[in-house]
Amino acid sequence: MERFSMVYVPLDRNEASKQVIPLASALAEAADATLCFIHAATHNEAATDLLEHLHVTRGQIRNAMFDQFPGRPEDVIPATVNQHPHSIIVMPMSAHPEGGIQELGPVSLAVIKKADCPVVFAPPGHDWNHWKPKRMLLPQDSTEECAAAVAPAVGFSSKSKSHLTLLHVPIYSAGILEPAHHALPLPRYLDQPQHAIRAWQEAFIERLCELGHVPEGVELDLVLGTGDPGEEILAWAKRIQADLIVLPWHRDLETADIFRAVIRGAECPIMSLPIANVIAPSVQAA
Amino acid sequence: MIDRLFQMVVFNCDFRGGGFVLPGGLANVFERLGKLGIFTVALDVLPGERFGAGIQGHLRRRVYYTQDSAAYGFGPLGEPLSLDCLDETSLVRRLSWEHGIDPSDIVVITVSGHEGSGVLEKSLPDCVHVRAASSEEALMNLQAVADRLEKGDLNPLPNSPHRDPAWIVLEEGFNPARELEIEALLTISNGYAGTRGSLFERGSPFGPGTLIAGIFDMIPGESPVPGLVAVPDWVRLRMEILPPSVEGALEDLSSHDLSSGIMIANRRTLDMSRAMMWREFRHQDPLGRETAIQGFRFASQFDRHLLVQSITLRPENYSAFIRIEAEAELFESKHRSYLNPYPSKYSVLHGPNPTPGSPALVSYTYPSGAQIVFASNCVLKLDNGQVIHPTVNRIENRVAEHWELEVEVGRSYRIEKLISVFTSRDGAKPARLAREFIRRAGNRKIETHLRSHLDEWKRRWSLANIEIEGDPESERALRFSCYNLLSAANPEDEKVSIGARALTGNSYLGHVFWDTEIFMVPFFIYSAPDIARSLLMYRYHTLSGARQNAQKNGYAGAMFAWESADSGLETTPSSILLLTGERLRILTGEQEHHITADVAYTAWQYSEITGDQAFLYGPGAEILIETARFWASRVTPDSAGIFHIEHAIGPDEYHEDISDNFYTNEMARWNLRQAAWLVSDFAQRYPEAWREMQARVGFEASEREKWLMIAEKLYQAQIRNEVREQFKGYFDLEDHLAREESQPGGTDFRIFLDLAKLGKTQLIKQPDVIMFLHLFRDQFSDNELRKNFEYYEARTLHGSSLSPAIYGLLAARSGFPEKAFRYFKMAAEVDLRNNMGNASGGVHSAAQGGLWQATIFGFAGLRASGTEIVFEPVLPKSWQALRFQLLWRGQPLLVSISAEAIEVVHKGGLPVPIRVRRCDAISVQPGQTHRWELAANQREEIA
Repeated sequence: MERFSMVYVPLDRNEASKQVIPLASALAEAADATLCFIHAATHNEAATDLLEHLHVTRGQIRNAMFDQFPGRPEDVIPATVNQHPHSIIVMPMSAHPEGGIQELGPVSLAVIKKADCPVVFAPPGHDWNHWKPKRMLLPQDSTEECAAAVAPAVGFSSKSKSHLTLLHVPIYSAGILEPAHHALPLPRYLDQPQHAIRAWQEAFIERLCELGHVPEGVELDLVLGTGDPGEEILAWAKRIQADLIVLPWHRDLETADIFRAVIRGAECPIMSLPIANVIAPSVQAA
Repeated sequence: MIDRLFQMVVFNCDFRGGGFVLPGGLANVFERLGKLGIFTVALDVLPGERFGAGIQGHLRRRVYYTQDSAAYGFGPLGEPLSLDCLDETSLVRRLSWEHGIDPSDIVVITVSGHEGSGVLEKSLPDCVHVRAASSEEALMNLQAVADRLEKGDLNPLPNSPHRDPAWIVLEEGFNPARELEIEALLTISNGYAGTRGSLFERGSPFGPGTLIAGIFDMIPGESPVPGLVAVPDWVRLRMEILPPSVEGALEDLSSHDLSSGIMIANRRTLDMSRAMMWREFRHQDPLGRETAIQGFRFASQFDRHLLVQSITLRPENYSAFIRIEAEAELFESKHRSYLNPYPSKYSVLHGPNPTPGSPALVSYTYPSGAQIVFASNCVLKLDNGQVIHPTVNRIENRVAEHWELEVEVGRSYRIEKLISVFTSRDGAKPARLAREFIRRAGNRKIETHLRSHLDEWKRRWSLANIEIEGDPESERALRFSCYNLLSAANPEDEKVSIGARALTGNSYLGHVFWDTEIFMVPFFIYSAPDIARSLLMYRYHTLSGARQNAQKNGYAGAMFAWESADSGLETTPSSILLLTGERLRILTGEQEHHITADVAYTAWQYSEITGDQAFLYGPGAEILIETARFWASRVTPDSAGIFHIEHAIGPDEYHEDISDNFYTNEMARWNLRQAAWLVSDFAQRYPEAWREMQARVGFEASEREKWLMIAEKLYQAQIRNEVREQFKGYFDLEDHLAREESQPGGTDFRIFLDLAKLGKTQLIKQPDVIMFLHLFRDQFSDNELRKNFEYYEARTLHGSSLSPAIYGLLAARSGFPEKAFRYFKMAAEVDLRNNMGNASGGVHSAAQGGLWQATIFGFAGLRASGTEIVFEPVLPKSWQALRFQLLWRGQPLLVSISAEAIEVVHKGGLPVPIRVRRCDAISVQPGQTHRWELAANQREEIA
């Protein structure tokens, strides 16, 4: 089960980057990881000067490391973090100047494209001082690729003692995804719902754990959304009062309609989990 | 001299002389032969002698004898049964077809000079006849045969699965996404215990994969209901190649064991002809050391308390020190199934044990007090015949029988594991029963157990097998259906029935629905009547619970539970939390009452087709009377004196709380009338027995008149253009037609989740009106059948695995042969291709029964009553011939159907009236083969 050992927080002079420090700190504490601030600069400065330059107090960076690297943030941040497996990056979302729509800024977009690790985006306008991961929501779409996100999510929820709820949003338009092709089954009908629902629920979770190589003994809740995936994710996050949405991330922003929809509407932090490389387990013993 | 294996031995010797002086005597020989799966018949036993008393009860099932011109056999518990046979010849003939034994596999030993010694040679010319100079010589000869059989000399056992693809289900490779349904498909079961086809080296993601019939416990939760319990995973086996440096340090089994490394050429095969699951694969560890592994497991059909697994390991390219561990999980402490109750405590009763060969016993106790005991006898056999007993240890949460030994390249090492299972249902001391059983079983070779098992299956298949020329896929699917139905049943236990997923998975919690009577029992009636009777007796034994259900709901008589477990009390959960977060109230337990008439209907059908008068004028009559009483109290009259059944649910469960469901009303009407007829007939035919029955059930004469009056005035459905309205107001609902993309297998099936919306439309889940048309085909014209079929088929979403087969059947009868075959394939693929996406929770037993019905009642067009059999065949184009056997009133018939002709071979002893299409019935005589030529248009025939 994957454990996170480093939580990186990119800092700049912008106030938004500092607002996520309590969030990152809570994540680091929950994951038993080291908190590390990172700053991309034109030239290295003495630590005291840098703190002053960034308007960061010593209290804000207590029990943390602080690194600065020369270069553009969109290059420096992913390059640095990619050298340290088992890391998480925490960044703020930005609000669009016109209309206040939540979105990712240019640096965030560059980081999420290049980083191999999860990136947590915090929506603006929230006070994260008392935030703790207690209820996580993990959407799934029936595919084996998506299932690969379960093990790291389970690892984090287990470490942080938070409750993980799986939200299954079946895909309908692309036709049936056959289990024979490494996809998960979809509820095709409800015969005697008093039994069919529980049976399907159990089968779904067990398959998911098999595909995602989740260790035994993990208890997961499963809920179902039948509408538009983006809307379902936001609605269920609100309904279960999720304080973290874990979004499996295909690393292709062009087609990431659901990802963008969730970013726009989320009222809690979103953790993107890159899931590009899934190894077919068919020839291996489990 | 007897020099080959026979299936049956008939002793035509001088039993009156009392001349048996061999050690152990006759009982000893009969018992030994019984253990070897051989039937024995003793002719002309001394009057007054308690024959069979010296033979173990369960082995007496294979013993028959005649005494004082009467024939006898023994029941499942060893009790004597009188057989209806005219003479010795007819007894042997009857046993031949009942057990599926070819006459050439029957040896008749006659002592020279014995009275009537030449008669059987003439009357049974196809049997093998042996003369012996004396009774002692005959017995010595058989002792010698038994010796050789016990050594495995005369009958080599299979060492690989059946080669015909139409007899196997083969799964290759390893795909975690499909593992759960593969486990269900490859289940081995004998109706007492069922074990899913999980991988022995890693177990199942679902947790323990074995279920025991009849052992329920409450599943905690908001709406607690009983479910079949989880029991130990007895198939687990670990093998580890140990590094030389750590010999003796055996705690860590995680490094190079079979669950890591690479699995090469992994094959699991369900051999349906033998009811065995075979496993074959090569394992390569990270150092490149390869081990070839082959084995099988089965649940004995002969000794239902016995489960067997044999696994042979062969190092292919190495010699090493290894550890092998056959284990029983005490319980999977980490994994908790959502569905199975786990034991509240367990105890290791006998192990670790220093005595080699002593069984390891583990007892599980469940919160309700139910107990299950597993006793294990496991040995390791080497190439040279050496047997090594294991060391038994408790390791973490498992009891392990283990060996550490040096293995050599190219040599084979076979682990044979016998498990006996007993529960608190079997007796007050299941541990003692399990221990005694496993000791006895351990004294016999695994080959002997396998032979007994195979013989039982051979007997079952001799009646149940179906052959289809030209379509091996369909043939395989039908065998899969028959295999699952036969392996689900236990005719030795009348207090259990077959749950919706039998013992192949935990979905539906082992609950028994109308699936059993309406979809499965017809197969048994024609192919295994003893099982059909046993299943109906389950309903009889649960009448008490059904009476309580009726009383609780303010009705009279007996109201069978929509979902029944061990007591017959209603066990349907009252509500469920949907995955969408909404709570759904479940009304089926409160309103789906047609099951009460379904049970009565099937009890009647059974007695009609089998001629089992003892059942009809006994348990059957009680069922019909109590169910009629229920309906008489269930109806409510309106001001015009018309009776209605309100607040009901029919087979189409998309429409709840409806009034006057066609299926329910018509089944109730039939139930009332049939019960009224039966009580009159009973009183007339068996007045004394009727008086006893009358007193037992407190029947009053006025009840009969009331039943007939209600049946007469029960609401009759509106008919529009010959189409029966499914329930009052159905025709006024929004009319939607079913689209293929909305059906299981389509691309958008969200409509299934919106039950409230479905209830406002004419879309239905499964056959409802059509179901009644199937059951009472003779009451409707061809035109009515066709019009109702067309109307409702267009509105059916097939939201149940029960649906496609019945539509296939009716399509064949309604003149839509292509559609019939499409539905047949859809039903055939419910499990084999998991086309409804939920086979992981177990095989759909009712769909399997439906597939058989679609074939026999649909394509072969079989309709039978108590007076004749009718065939109206309409074969799919790809089927060149369809061959099957059936039993009608005890008469075995072999039926062959092609596009050109029907041929019936009568293998029984009494004439059978048979009609083909609209021809006059022909009385086919015993031993006769009759052929009907069919006209090309399939509507006329030339006799």
